[in-house]
Amino acid sequence: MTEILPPGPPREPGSAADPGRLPSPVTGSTGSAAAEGPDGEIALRLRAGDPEALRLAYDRHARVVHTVALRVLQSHHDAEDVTQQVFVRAWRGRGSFDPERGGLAPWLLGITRRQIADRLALRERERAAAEGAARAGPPPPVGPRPEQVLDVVVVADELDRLPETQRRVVRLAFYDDLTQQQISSVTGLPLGTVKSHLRRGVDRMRRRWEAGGAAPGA
Amino acid sequence: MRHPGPDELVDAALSTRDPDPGTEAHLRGCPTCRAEVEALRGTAQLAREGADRPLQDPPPTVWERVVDELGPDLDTGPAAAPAGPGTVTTLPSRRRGPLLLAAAALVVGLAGGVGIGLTLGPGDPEVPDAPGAVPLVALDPGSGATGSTGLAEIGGRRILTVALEHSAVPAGGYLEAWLMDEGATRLYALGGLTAGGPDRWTGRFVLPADLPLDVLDTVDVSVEHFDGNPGHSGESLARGRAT
Ligand SMILES: [Zn+2]
Repeated sequence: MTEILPPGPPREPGSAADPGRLPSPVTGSTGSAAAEGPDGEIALRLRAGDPEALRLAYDRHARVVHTVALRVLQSHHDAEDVTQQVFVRAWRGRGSFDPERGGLAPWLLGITRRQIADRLALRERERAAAEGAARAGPPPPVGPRPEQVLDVVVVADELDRLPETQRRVVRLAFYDDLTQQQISSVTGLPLGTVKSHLRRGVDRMRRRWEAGGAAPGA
Repeated sequence: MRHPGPDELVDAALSTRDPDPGTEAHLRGCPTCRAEVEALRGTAQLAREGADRPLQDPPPTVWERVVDELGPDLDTGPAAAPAGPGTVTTLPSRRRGPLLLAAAALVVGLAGGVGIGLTLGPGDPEVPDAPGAVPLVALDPGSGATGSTGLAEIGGRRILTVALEHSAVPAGGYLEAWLMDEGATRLYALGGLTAGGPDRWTGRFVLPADLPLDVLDTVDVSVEHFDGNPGHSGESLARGRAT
Protein backbone atom coordinates (compact mmCIF):
# COMPACT_ATOMS: atom_id res chain seq x y z
CA MET A 1 0.00 0.00 0.00
CA THR A 2 2.73 2.43 0.83
CA GLU A 3 4.32 3.67 -2.31
CA ILE A 4 6.79 6.44 -2.74
CA LEU A 5 6.23 9.02 -5.38
CA PRO A 6 9.12 9.64 -7.70
CA PRO A 7 10.92 12.83 -6.77
CA GLY A 8 10.08 15.70 -9.02
CA PRO A 9 9.87 19.43 -9.15
CA PRO A 10 6.86 21.06 -7.53
CA ARG A 11 4.08 21.88 -9.92
CA GLU A 12 2.18 25.10 -9.94
CA PRO A 13 -1.47 25.03 -10.92
CA GLY A 14 -1.95 25.67 -14.56
CA SER A 15 1.67 25.35 -15.54
CA ALA A 16 3.06 21.95 -16.39
CA ALA A 17 -0.28 20.25 -16.50
CA ASP A 18 -2.42 22.96 -18.03
CA PRO A 19 -5.63 21.25 -19.10
CA GLY A 20 -5.49 22.72 -22.55
CA ARG A 21 -2.10 21.24 -23.21
CA LEU A 22 -2.80 17.71 -22.09
CA PRO A 23 -3.63 15.16 -24.73
CA SER A 24 -7.29 15.37 -25.61
CA PRO A 25 -9.57 12.44 -24.98
CA VAL A 26 -10.13 10.29 -28.03
CA THR A 27 -13.57 10.99 -29.35
CA GLY A 28 -15.67 7.91 -29.61
CA SER A 29 -19.36 7.20 -29.59
CA THR A 30 -19.24 4.19 -27.31
CA GLY A 31 -17.83 3.45 -23.89
CA SER A 32 -18.24 5.29 -20.64
CA ALA A 33 -16.81 8.76 -20.44
CA ALA A 34 -14.73 7.68 -17.46
CA ALA A 35 -12.74 5.21 -19.48
CA GLU A 36 -11.59 7.77 -22.01
CA GLY A 37 -8.44 9.82 -22.08
CA PRO A 38 -6.43 11.21 -19.18
CA ASP A 39 -9.48 11.55 -16.93
CA GLY A 40 -10.05 7.82 -17.05
CA GLU A 41 -6.55 7.10 -15.88
CA ILE A 42 -6.61 9.85 -13.27
CA ALA A 43 -9.88 8.49 -11.92
CA LEU A 44 -8.47 5.01 -11.56
CA ARG A 45 -5.36 6.29 -9.84
CA LEU A 46 -7.43 8.49 -7.55
CA ARG A 47 -9.57 5.55 -6.55
CA ALA A 48 -6.42 3.60 -5.86
CA GLY A 49 -5.29 6.33 -3.48
CA ASP A 50 -2.52 7.91 -5.52
CA PRO A 51 -2.03 11.44 -4.13
CA GLU A 52 -0.59 12.65 -7.41
CA ALA A 53 -3.89 11.81 -9.08
CA LEU A 54 -5.58 14.38 -6.88
CA ARG A 55 -3.13 16.97 -8.10
CA LEU A 56 -3.74 15.97 -11.72
CA ALA A 57 -7.49 16.12 -11.19
CA TYR A 58 -7.02 19.56 -9.67
CA ASP A 59 -4.91 20.74 -12.58
CA ARG A 60 -7.53 19.62 -15.06
CA HIS A 61 -10.73 20.58 -13.28
CA ALA A 62 -10.14 23.22 -10.61
CA ARG A 63 -10.72 25.92 -13.23
CA VAL A 64 -14.25 24.71 -14.00
CA VAL A 65 -15.08 24.09 -10.34
CA HIS A 66 -13.84 27.54 -9.35
CA THR A 67 -15.52 29.33 -12.25
CA VAL A 68 -18.91 27.73 -11.57
CA ALA A 69 -18.66 28.57 -7.87
CA LEU A 70 -17.54 32.11 -8.59
CA ARG A 71 -20.31 32.86 -11.05
CA VAL A 72 -23.04 31.42 -8.84
CA LEU A 73 -21.83 32.69 -5.48
CA GLN A 74 -20.32 35.93 -6.82
CA SER A 75 -17.71 35.95 -4.09
CA HIS A 76 -14.05 35.15 -4.51
CA HIS A 77 -13.80 34.07 -0.90
CA ASP A 78 -16.69 31.61 -1.15
CA ALA A 79 -15.59 30.33 -4.56
CA GLU A 80 -12.13 29.55 -3.20
CA ASP A 81 -13.62 27.83 -0.18
CA VAL A 82 -15.85 25.72 -2.39
CA THR A 83 -12.94 24.78 -4.65
CA GLN A 84 -10.88 23.75 -1.65
CA GLN A 85 -13.71 21.69 -0.22
CA VAL A 86 -14.47 19.96 -3.51
CA PHE A 87 -10.95 18.55 -3.77
CA VAL A 88 -10.69 17.75 -0.07
CA ARG A 89 -13.94 15.82 -0.35
CA ALA A 90 -12.91 14.21 -3.60
CA TRP A 91 -9.89 12.76 -1.81
CA ARG A 92 -11.73 11.67 1.28
CA GLY A 93 -14.63 10.31 -0.73
CA ARG A 94 -12.59 8.69 -3.48
CA GLY A 95 -13.83 5.27 -2.38
CA SER A 96 -17.34 6.24 -3.44
CA PHE A 97 -16.36 7.25 -6.96
CA ASP A 98 -17.75 4.72 -9.41
CA PRO A 99 -16.23 5.04 -12.89
CA GLU A 100 -19.08 2.98 -14.29
CA ARG A 101 -21.55 5.70 -13.38
CA GLY A 102 -19.82 8.59 -15.07
CA GLY A 103 -16.59 10.42 -15.60
CA LEU A 104 -14.30 12.23 -13.24
CA ALA A 105 -15.50 15.69 -14.28
CA PRO A 106 -19.22 15.04 -13.66
CA TRP A 107 -18.35 13.48 -10.32
CA LEU A 108 -16.34 16.53 -9.26
CA LEU A 109 -19.11 18.81 -10.48
CA GLY A 110 -21.65 16.81 -8.50
CA ILE A 111 -19.61 17.58 -5.38
CA THR A 112 -19.35 21.19 -6.53
CA ARG A 113 -23.11 21.52 -6.87
CA ARG A 114 -23.68 20.21 -3.37
CA GLN A 115 -21.04 22.54 -1.94
CA ILE A 116 -22.62 25.51 -3.69
CA ALA A 117 -26.10 24.48 -2.53
CA ASP A 118 -24.82 24.24 1.05
CA ARG A 119 -23.28 27.70 0.73
CA LEU A 120 -26.50 29.19 -0.65
CA ALA A 121 -28.55 27.53 2.09
CA LEU A 122 -26.23 28.96 4.72
CA ARG A 123 -26.60 32.43 3.25
CA GLU A 124 -30.35 32.05 3.26
CA ARG A 125 -30.37 30.98 6.91
CA GLU A 126 -28.17 33.93 7.84
CA ARG A 127 -30.41 36.26 5.90
CA ALA A 128 -33.53 34.85 7.56
CA ALA A 129 -31.92 35.18 10.97
CA ALA A 130 -30.91 38.76 10.30
CA GLU A 131 -34.38 39.52 9.03
CA GLY A 132 -35.94 37.94 12.09
CA ALA A 133 -33.78 40.08 14.33
CA ALA A 134 -34.14 43.33 12.45
CA ARG A 135 -37.63 42.66 11.08
CA ALA A 136 -36.54 44.17 7.82
CA GLY A 137 -33.68 42.51 6.05
CA PRO A 138 -32.44 42.86 2.53
CA PRO A 139 -34.31 40.95 -0.17
CA PRO A 140 -33.12 37.41 -0.88
CA PRO A 141 -30.05 37.50 -3.07
CA VAL A 142 -30.76 36.56 -6.65
CA GLY A 143 -27.88 34.96 -8.50
CA PRO A 144 -27.65 32.98 -11.69
CA ARG A 145 -29.12 29.50 -11.58
CA PRO A 146 -26.40 26.95 -10.70
CA GLU A 147 -27.48 24.44 -13.34
CA GLN A 148 -27.40 27.02 -16.10
CA VAL A 149 -24.00 28.34 -15.02
CA LEU A 150 -22.63 24.84 -14.89
CA ASP A 151 -23.82 24.04 -18.41
CA VAL A 152 -22.32 27.22 -19.84
CA VAL A 153 -19.01 26.67 -18.06
CA VAL A 154 -18.53 23.02 -19.05
CA VAL A 155 -19.31 23.79 -22.68
CA ALA A 156 -16.88 26.71 -22.66
CA ASP A 157 -14.26 24.50 -21.02
CA GLU A 158 -14.68 21.80 -23.64
CA LEU A 159 -14.40 24.41 -26.39
CA ASP A 160 -11.12 25.56 -24.81
CA ARG A 161 -9.87 21.99 -24.90
CA LEU A 162 -10.59 21.36 -28.56
CA PRO A 163 -7.61 21.08 -30.88
CA GLU A 164 -6.72 24.45 -32.38
CA THR A 165 -8.25 24.04 -35.83
CA GLN A 166 -11.37 22.38 -34.51
CA ARG A 167 -11.82 25.21 -32.05
CA ARG A 168 -11.42 27.80 -34.77
CA VAL A 169 -14.00 26.12 -37.00
CA VAL A 170 -16.49 25.77 -34.14
CA ARG A 171 -16.06 29.42 -33.21
CA LEU A 172 -16.68 30.58 -36.77
CA ALA A 173 -19.84 28.47 -36.88
CA PHE A 174 -21.15 29.40 -33.43
CA TYR A 175 -20.07 32.99 -32.94
CA ASP A 176 -19.89 34.28 -36.48
CA ASP A 177 -22.82 32.24 -37.74
CA LEU A 178 -20.97 31.13 -40.87
CA THR A 179 -22.11 28.17 -42.95
CA GLN A 180 -19.70 25.32 -43.44
CA GLN A 181 -19.11 26.51 -47.02
CA GLN A 182 -18.29 30.01 -45.76
CA ILE A 183 -15.95 28.61 -43.13
CA SER A 184 -14.19 26.70 -45.85
CA SER A 185 -13.72 29.93 -47.83
CA VAL A 186 -12.55 31.93 -44.83
CA THR A 187 -10.08 29.32 -43.56
CA GLY A 188 -8.98 27.77 -46.81
CA LEU A 189 -9.75 24.35 -45.37
CA PRO A 190 -11.45 21.86 -47.68
CA LEU A 191 -15.19 21.63 -47.09
CA GLY A 192 -14.92 18.00 -45.99
CA THR A 193 -12.34 18.98 -43.38
CA VAL A 194 -14.55 21.78 -42.10
CA LYS A 195 -17.48 19.39 -41.82
CA SER A 196 -15.56 16.79 -39.85
CA HIS A 197 -13.96 19.39 -37.55
CA LEU A 198 -17.29 20.98 -36.84
CA ARG A 199 -19.08 17.70 -36.29
CA ARG A 200 -16.40 16.37 -33.96
CA GLY A 201 -16.04 19.61 -32.06
CA VAL A 202 -19.75 20.09 -31.54
CA ASP A 203 -20.14 16.45 -30.61
CA ARG A 204 -17.53 16.71 -27.88
CA MET A 205 -19.07 19.85 -26.45
CA ARG A 206 -22.50 18.34 -26.53
CA ARG A 207 -21.43 15.13 -24.81
CA ARG A 208 -19.64 17.13 -22.17
CA TRP A 209 -22.79 19.18 -21.58
CA GLU A 210 -24.96 16.08 -21.40
CA ALA A 211 -22.57 14.32 -19.01
CA GLY A 212 -21.67 17.34 -16.92
CA GLY A 213 -25.04 18.53 -15.81
CA ALA A 214 -26.88 15.32 -15.25
CA ALA A 215 -24.47 12.86 -13.74
CA PRO A 216 -24.94 11.88 -10.12
CA GLY A 217 -22.13 12.76 -7.76
CA ALA A 218 -20.47 10.83 -4.99
CA MET B 1 -37.09 6.89 -44.31
CA ARG B 2 -33.66 8.30 -45.05
CA HIS B 3 -32.40 10.51 -42.24
CA PRO B 4 -30.12 13.44 -43.00
CA GLY B 5 -26.45 12.80 -42.27
CA PRO B 6 -24.68 14.32 -39.25
CA ASP B 7 -23.24 17.18 -41.29
CA GLU B 8 -26.66 18.11 -42.62
CA LEU B 9 -28.06 18.10 -39.09
CA VAL B 10 -25.21 20.35 -37.93
CA ASP B 11 -26.05 22.63 -40.85
CA ALA B 12 -29.71 22.63 -39.94
CA ALA B 13 -28.92 23.38 -36.30
CA LEU B 14 -26.50 26.21 -36.93
CA SER B 15 -27.49 27.84 -40.22
CA THR B 16 -30.92 29.12 -39.41
CA ARG B 17 -30.66 31.83 -42.07
CA ASP B 18 -30.44 29.45 -44.95
CA PRO B 19 -32.29 26.23 -44.15
CA ASP B 20 -32.24 23.36 -46.57
CA PRO B 21 -35.87 22.71 -47.59
CA GLY B 22 -35.46 18.95 -47.77
CA THR B 23 -33.94 18.74 -44.30
CA GLU B 24 -36.59 21.09 -42.90
CA ALA B 25 -39.33 18.86 -44.25
CA HIS B 26 -37.68 15.81 -42.76
CA LEU B 27 -37.31 17.41 -39.36
CA ARG B 28 -41.02 18.21 -39.21
CA GLY B 29 -41.80 14.52 -39.51
CA CYS B 30 -38.89 12.97 -37.56
CA PRO B 31 -38.72 13.41 -33.78
CA THR B 32 -35.36 11.64 -33.62
CA CYS B 33 -33.58 14.05 -35.92
CA ARG B 34 -35.44 16.98 -34.38
CA ALA B 35 -34.11 16.02 -30.93
CA GLU B 36 -30.63 15.79 -32.41
CA VAL B 37 -30.91 19.28 -33.90
CA GLU B 38 -32.28 20.66 -30.63
CA ALA B 39 -29.30 19.22 -28.75
CA LEU B 40 -26.89 20.77 -31.24
CA ARG B 41 -28.66 24.12 -31.00
CA GLY B 42 -28.59 23.90 -27.22
CA THR B 43 -24.85 23.29 -27.31
CA ALA B 44 -24.32 26.25 -29.63
CA GLN B 45 -26.52 28.44 -27.44
CA LEU B 46 -24.52 27.54 -24.32
CA ALA B 47 -21.29 28.21 -26.18
CA ARG B 48 -22.55 31.64 -27.23
CA GLU B 49 -23.54 32.47 -23.67
CA GLY B 50 -20.04 31.59 -22.55
CA ALA B 51 -18.31 33.54 -25.29
CA ASP B 52 -15.83 36.17 -24.19
CA ARG B 53 -16.10 35.08 -20.58
CA PRO B 54 -12.85 33.31 -19.83
CA LEU B 55 -12.91 30.66 -17.14
CA GLN B 56 -10.99 31.67 -14.03
CA ASP B 57 -8.38 29.53 -12.32
CA PRO B 58 -8.39 29.62 -8.54
CA PRO B 59 -5.33 31.32 -7.01
CA PRO B 60 -2.44 28.92 -6.22
CA THR B 61 -3.14 29.23 -2.51
CA VAL B 62 -6.25 27.08 -2.94
CA TRP B 63 -4.22 23.99 -3.74
CA GLU B 64 -1.99 24.71 -0.75
CA ARG B 65 -5.11 24.87 1.41
CA VAL B 66 -6.25 21.50 0.05
CA VAL B 67 -2.90 19.95 0.98
CA ASP B 68 -2.91 21.63 4.39
CA GLU B 69 -6.41 20.48 5.21
CA LEU B 70 -5.80 16.90 4.14
CA GLY B 71 -2.42 16.80 5.87
CA PRO B 72 -1.25 13.26 6.56
CA ASP B 73 -4.55 11.97 5.22
CA LEU B 74 -3.18 12.61 1.75
CA ASP B 75 -1.47 9.25 1.70
CA THR B 76 -1.48 6.39 -0.70
CA GLY B 77 -4.10 3.76 -0.15
CA PRO B 78 -7.24 2.39 -1.72
CA ALA B 79 -9.58 3.74 0.93
CA ALA B 80 -9.69 6.65 3.30
CA ALA B 81 -7.04 6.26 5.97
CA PRO B 82 -8.42 4.76 9.17
CA ALA B 83 -6.34 7.06 11.34
CA GLY B 84 -7.20 10.72 11.10
CA PRO B 85 -4.61 13.40 10.51
CA GLY B 86 -2.44 14.10 13.47
CA THR B 87 -3.55 11.02 15.32
CA VAL B 88 -0.96 9.44 17.53
CA THR B 89 -1.54 5.95 18.84
CA THR B 90 -0.07 4.36 21.89
CA LEU B 91 1.79 1.09 21.84
CA PRO B 92 0.93 -1.56 24.39
CA SER B 93 3.60 -1.26 27.05
CA ARG B 94 4.76 -4.84 26.72
CA ARG B 95 5.94 -3.99 23.24
CA ARG B 96 8.11 -1.12 24.26
CA GLY B 97 11.63 -1.03 23.01
CA PRO B 98 13.15 0.62 20.01
CA LEU B 99 13.65 -2.50 17.97
CA LEU B 100 10.57 -4.36 19.06
CA LEU B 101 8.17 -2.06 17.33
CA ALA B 102 5.12 -4.00 16.30
CA ALA B 103 4.32 -2.64 12.91
CA ALA B 104 0.61 -3.24 12.98
CA ALA B 105 0.18 -1.29 16.19
CA LEU B 106 1.98 1.69 14.82
CA VAL B 107 -0.40 2.90 12.21
CA VAL B 108 -0.59 6.47 13.28
CA GLY B 109 -0.98 9.57 11.20
CA LEU B 110 -0.04 8.16 7.86
CA ALA B 111 2.81 9.19 5.68
CA GLY B 112 2.16 12.88 5.54
CA GLY B 113 5.37 13.57 3.73
CA VAL B 114 4.20 11.72 0.67
CA GLY B 115 1.33 14.09 0.20
CA ILE B 116 3.08 17.17 1.49
CA GLY B 117 5.96 16.39 -0.83
CA LEU B 118 3.70 17.36 -3.68
CA THR B 119 4.13 20.98 -2.74
CA LEU B 120 7.40 20.90 -0.89
CA GLY B 121 9.63 19.64 -3.64
CA PRO B 122 13.37 19.96 -3.76
CA GLY B 123 13.14 23.27 -5.56
CA ASP B 124 10.70 24.99 -3.23
CA PRO B 125 12.29 28.40 -2.86
CA GLU B 126 10.94 29.21 0.57
CA VAL B 127 12.44 26.18 2.29
CA PRO B 128 16.11 26.24 3.19
CA ASP B 129 17.90 23.37 1.55
CA ALA B 130 20.30 22.48 4.33
CA PRO B 131 18.84 20.77 7.33
CA GLY B 132 19.80 22.00 10.77
CA ALA B 133 22.83 20.95 12.69
CA VAL B 134 21.21 18.32 14.88
CA PRO B 135 22.87 15.01 14.06
CA LEU B 136 21.11 11.76 13.39
CA VAL B 137 23.04 8.99 15.12
CA ALA B 138 23.21 5.45 13.76
CA LEU B 139 21.72 2.86 16.10
CA ASP B 140 24.23 0.37 14.77
CA PRO B 141 27.53 2.24 14.49
CA GLY B 142 28.71 -0.35 11.98
CA SER B 143 26.01 0.65 9.52
CA GLY B 144 27.84 3.83 8.60
CA ALA B 145 24.61 5.83 8.49
CA THR B 146 25.04 9.52 9.24
CA GLY B 147 22.68 12.38 8.89
CA SER B 148 21.05 15.44 10.31
CA THR B 149 17.66 16.90 11.00
CA GLY B 150 16.37 20.41 11.38
CA LEU B 151 13.19 22.19 12.30
CA ALA B 152 12.22 25.53 10.88
CA GLU B 153 9.15 27.69 11.06
CA ILE B 154 8.31 29.20 7.70
CA GLY B 155 5.18 31.13 7.01
CA GLY B 156 3.60 29.89 10.20
CA ARG B 157 4.24 26.26 9.32
CA ARG B 158 6.69 23.99 11.08
CA ILE B 159 8.87 22.24 8.57
CA LEU B 160 11.08 19.34 9.49
CA THR B 161 13.96 18.39 7.23
CA VAL B 162 15.77 15.07 7.33
CA ALA B 163 18.91 14.06 5.45
CA LEU B 164 20.69 10.75 5.72
CA GLU B 165 23.77 9.27 4.09
CA HIS B 166 23.39 5.53 3.89
CA SER B 167 24.46 3.05 1.31
CA ALA B 168 22.76 -0.14 2.35
CA VAL B 169 19.15 0.41 1.41
CA PRO B 170 17.87 -2.96 0.21
CA ALA B 171 16.40 -3.36 -3.24
CA GLY B 172 12.65 -2.92 -3.08
CA GLY B 173 13.00 -0.93 0.09
CA TYR B 174 13.06 2.71 1.03
CA LEU B 175 13.72 4.97 3.99
CA GLU B 176 10.97 6.54 6.01
CA ALA B 177 11.08 9.26 8.63
CA TRP B 178 9.09 9.20 11.85
CA LEU B 179 8.61 11.21 14.98
CA MET B 180 8.47 9.26 18.21
CA ASP B 181 8.56 9.78 21.92
CA GLU B 182 11.54 8.91 24.04
CA GLY B 183 10.51 5.33 24.72
CA ALA B 184 9.43 4.69 21.12
CA THR B 185 5.94 3.95 22.36
CA ARG B 186 4.22 6.58 20.27
CA LEU B 187 4.93 7.18 16.62
CA TYR B 188 3.98 9.62 13.94
CA ALA B 189 4.79 8.72 10.34
CA LEU B 190 6.30 11.66 8.49
CA GLY B 191 6.77 9.95 5.15
CA GLY B 192 9.29 8.44 2.81
CA LEU B 193 12.65 9.97 2.04
CA THR B 194 13.59 10.49 -1.57
CA ALA B 195 16.93 9.73 -3.11
CA GLY B 196 18.77 13.03 -3.28
CA GLY B 197 22.01 11.79 -4.76
CA PRO B 198 24.30 8.79 -4.42
CA ASP B 199 23.57 7.18 -1.05
CA ARG B 200 21.83 10.36 0.06
CA TRP B 201 18.23 10.47 1.21
CA THR B 202 16.27 13.55 2.09
CA GLY B 203 12.78 14.63 3.05
CA ARG B 204 10.93 17.78 4.06
CA PHE B 205 7.71 17.52 5.98
CA VAL B 206 5.13 20.05 7.03
CA LEU B 207 4.08 19.18 10.56
CA PRO B 208 0.44 19.49 11.59
CA ALA B 209 0.00 22.51 13.83
CA ASP B 210 -1.22 20.41 16.74
CA LEU B 211 1.48 17.75 16.63
CA PRO B 212 3.03 17.70 20.14
CA LEU B 213 6.73 18.00 19.47
CA ASP B 214 7.42 18.21 23.20
CA VAL B 215 6.29 14.58 23.39
CA LEU B 216 7.28 13.33 19.95
CA ASP B 217 10.75 14.77 20.27
CA THR B 218 12.77 12.12 18.46
CA VAL B 219 13.31 11.84 14.73
CA ASP B 220 13.67 8.25 13.57
CA VAL B 221 14.64 6.93 10.14
CA SER B 222 13.74 3.35 9.33
CA VAL B 223 14.16 0.94 6.46
CA GLU B 224 10.74 0.06 5.06
CA HIS B 225 9.61 -2.42 2.47
CA PHE B 226 6.92 -2.32 -0.16
CA ASP B 227 4.95 -4.93 1.69
CA GLY B 228 1.60 -3.25 2.07
CA ASN B 229 2.21 -2.56 5.73
CA PRO B 230 2.17 1.16 6.56
CA GLY B 231 3.53 0.66 10.06
CA HIS B 232 7.10 0.93 11.27
CA SER B 233 9.22 -2.04 10.19
CA GLY B 234 11.16 -2.08 13.41
CA GLU B 235 14.38 -1.60 11.46
CA SER B 236 15.51 1.77 12.73
CA LEU B 237 18.69 3.13 11.20
CA ALA B 238 19.31 6.40 12.96
CA ARG B 239 17.77 8.80 15.44
CA GLY B 240 18.13 12.38 16.56
CA ARG B 241 16.35 15.03 18.61
CA ALA B 242 13.73 17.15 16.94
CA THR B 243 14.43 20.59 18.26
ZN1 LIG C 1 -34.68 11.61 -39.06
